[in-house]
Amino acid sequence: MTENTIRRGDKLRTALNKVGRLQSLPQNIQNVLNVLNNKSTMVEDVAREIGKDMAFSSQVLKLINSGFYGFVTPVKSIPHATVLLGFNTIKTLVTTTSMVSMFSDAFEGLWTHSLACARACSSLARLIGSDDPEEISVVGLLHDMGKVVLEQYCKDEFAEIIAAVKSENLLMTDAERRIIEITHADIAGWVLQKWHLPEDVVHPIVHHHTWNAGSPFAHRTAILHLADILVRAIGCGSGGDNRMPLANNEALAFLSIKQDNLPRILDVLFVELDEFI
Amino acid sequence: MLAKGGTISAGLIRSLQRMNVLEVAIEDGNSHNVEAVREKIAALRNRFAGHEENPFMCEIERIVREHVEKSIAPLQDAQ
Repeated sequence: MTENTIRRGDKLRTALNKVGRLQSLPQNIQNVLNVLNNKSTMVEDVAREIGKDMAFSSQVLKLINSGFYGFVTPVKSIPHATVLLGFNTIKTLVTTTSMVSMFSDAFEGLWTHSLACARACSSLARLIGSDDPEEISVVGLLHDMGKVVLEQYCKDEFAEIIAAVKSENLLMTDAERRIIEITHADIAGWVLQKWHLPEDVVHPIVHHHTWNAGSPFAHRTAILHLADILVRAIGCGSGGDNRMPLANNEALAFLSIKQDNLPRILDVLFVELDEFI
Repeated sequence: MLAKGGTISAGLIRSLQRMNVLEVAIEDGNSHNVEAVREKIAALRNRFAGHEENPFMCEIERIVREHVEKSIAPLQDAQ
């Protein structure tokens, strides 16, 4: 490792520590999480706690109705959302609400790519017969959170990565590995863990470019890996580069997805993702 | 200059003559769409460059390309 790389690594760690300090979860979100973590909590308790802060309550509803779930009719109340999505998903959504504002300053196309990936994750989960399509859509929504953090907190390194992506037509992950020796997926994992998101959300995000069968959440990770590839193929928003990552054959086999299944899967996605193209 | 379905009246022709306008080209909205589809297909080919030997990736590209091409077919039929 060169002296320059070590210096760069230290700088990156300092910048990321700053993110950890700045972005601790607001008190209102911690209160809601405490209520949700209580085993005797009822739907009305959750609604009451979220409803104490009207602005926050409307942010949660805005996120639910932002398009990534693809509900046909808008969800108008927190009790309705809680019944529809379940406590686990609401817990993740409540935490996610505090992060979504960061996407507004992200590079062009990333939010659309993230929304489309969220929708693709839930569509794939339904097609495969998974029992958690709503929960997995949050994983899709946040899978590129590391790029947002890099762009906003490590501006010099991000500019260098983007320059390499453009001049050499690289994948973001390849440019990141070369320049900062870690990827946006590693950074997302680090930040999301700090924000206490559950492991079944964090792990798939960390490994969506490095799937392995031995992982405890291999199924979700494989769905996210494939969703990201298909969303890029269809051309929804931008992940920051202009290349397709290679689909992992073992991940496809794990999901029992073969080449013959692609026409049906893509037919569903062309309809589901039409608004993001 | 004119909304869709508008008429080039004698008055408008006289105004154009006063402005020394010698010819008017009518833009073809469909040709813009055809061009946009061509650009989409070129971008798709660029995104998939390097995956020519991978059957799964090639199949994704083929299906997406056909989907994009389908959007141009009704326009070409109408021309």
